[in-house]
Amino acid sequence: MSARYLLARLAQAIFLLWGISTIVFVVLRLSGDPVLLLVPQETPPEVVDSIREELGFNAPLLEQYGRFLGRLVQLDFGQSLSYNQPALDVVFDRFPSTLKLAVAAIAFTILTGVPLGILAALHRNSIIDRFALIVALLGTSAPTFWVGILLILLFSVRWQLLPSIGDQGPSSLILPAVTLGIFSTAKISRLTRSAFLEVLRSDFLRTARAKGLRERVVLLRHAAPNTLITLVTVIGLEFALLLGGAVITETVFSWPGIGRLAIQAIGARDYPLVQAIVFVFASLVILVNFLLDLLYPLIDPRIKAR
Amino acid sequence: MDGMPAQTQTLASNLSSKPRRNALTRFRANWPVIIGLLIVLLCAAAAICAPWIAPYAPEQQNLRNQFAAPIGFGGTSEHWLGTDQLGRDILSRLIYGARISLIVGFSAVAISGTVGILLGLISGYYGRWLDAIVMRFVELQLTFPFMLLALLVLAVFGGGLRNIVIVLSIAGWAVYARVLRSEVISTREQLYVEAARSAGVRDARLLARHIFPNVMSSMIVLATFSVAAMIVQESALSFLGLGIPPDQASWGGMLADGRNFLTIAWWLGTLPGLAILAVVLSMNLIGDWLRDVTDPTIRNTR
Repeated sequence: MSARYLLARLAQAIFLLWGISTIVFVVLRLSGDPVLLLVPQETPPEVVDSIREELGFNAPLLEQYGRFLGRLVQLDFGQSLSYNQPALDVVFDRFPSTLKLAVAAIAFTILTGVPLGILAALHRNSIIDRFALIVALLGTSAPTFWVGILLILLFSVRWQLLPSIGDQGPSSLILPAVTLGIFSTAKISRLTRSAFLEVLRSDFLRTARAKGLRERVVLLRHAAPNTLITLVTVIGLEFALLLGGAVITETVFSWPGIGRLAIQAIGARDYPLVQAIVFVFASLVILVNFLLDLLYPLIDPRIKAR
Repeated sequence: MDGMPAQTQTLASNLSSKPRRNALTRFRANWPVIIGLLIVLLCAAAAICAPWIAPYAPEQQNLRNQFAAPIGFGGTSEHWLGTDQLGRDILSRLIYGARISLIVGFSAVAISGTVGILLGLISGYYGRWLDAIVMRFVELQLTFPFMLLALLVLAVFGGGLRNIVIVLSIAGWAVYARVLRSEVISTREQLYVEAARSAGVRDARLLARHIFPNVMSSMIVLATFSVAAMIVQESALSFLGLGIPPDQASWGGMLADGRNFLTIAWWLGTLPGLAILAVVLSMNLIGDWLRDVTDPTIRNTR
């Protein structure tokens, strides 16, 4: 990992975060006067003017943008308008909830998708393979929020086994995690299958068998490690996507995370909070991508750290 | 020779039975795609003919007949698929909802595909600073959490059909640009392109007549999958209340209503989802099939 490469990556990350924050800034400023949304309707114009002055919405747009960037560098997004505390703090308050949900979802995905893919590859064209294909097709085609609704209908309304609203302990994590993870499960089971099939046909596996190794050893020590790189990449990228998918899942299950916070913030035109949420989301995506690049040389020594 | 007539006979019978057997074996091999195609066509037909085939107007309320169950679950043939909380006919709303889903899906793909393909072609062919700029935008687009961008834009500019198509198009172009760019870069170096260029073919013509046709198949596959993804995203946005306004019939909006009445009327929360699933699954099946026929190399790994 050369210093030059790290610098290049850092520059790219800064560019992306700047670009995304600027887009959000522009979109939000296009939406009209934020002060009018903040004050009651019958507020006298003088008062509105003074509030506008106070919050800095009176200055020319370019000056506002300059001030915005200046504070962005210090990770200061300003006070959340609806929570009356620093926007970033509000986001980090909700962050553990979303992280918990995303980790549970990815755990579900790995525990179901990977074994399903491996079984399908080992028993190619069998009933298991067919089953895996159908699961994958349904999983990638069904909308997340509808899966959530179906799960609620069955497990909460019909059989009354699991809670469907909010965070009331570990059992309330199950339905949201499955809902959030099912799309990735479908994708990852397919990828695991094709990665495994490719390895199974490789020369080194034939050699391993020819040496007289037991099938279990062949699969676990020779085949499995060579599919890791594909799997880790996809799982990493899925994780970043899951954080975004949380917006919908959290709404369906009234889960108190960032996703639902985002919808509330957008609805309430809470500019600082929206900025902070988008910034945190984007940072996470960039961070996950970077960690993946760091992981590659560890998994596969043939890939040299740049 | 004695064998001749027999031979011609078998040949003749072969000739006559061949097409039918071919059609049968073809159907056996591809029946999911054919059913998928039929579903999409049926859906398109329903969307186009909505005013004539829908039994009721989609907004027509009947507060004396709320939550009527579908037929077979205690309902009557008056409302085949039951009614919702305002007594509106579910079947009629599903038929009108198909309009929204298909219009959004196909037009968003048409717009984002066109923009992405143009930028990908230019970026891959000319390279250098143009490429650098386009690729920075692609990265930006792919890092931006799509749902948040869409919600933000829709909250600011309002929902509705036109704005949803715009938002989905903005979100969708980057994938085309990235895939096409890398294909153009590898195609650019091919001998036949070299030959055409040295024969004096100009850039625009070279791109349109020699490079694009050779990378088109992957774009068509990508577009097919995108229609499916766009339909899901539209329904998600409408479900969140920021897409199609709730008084219009859209599958996502119907599910949002249904979510509030899960304990009393299960059909509100399931039927529109089944409609989405059917169309999206069909598009995905068609996409899978297109990918397989246009790329023979991956057949071995299936």
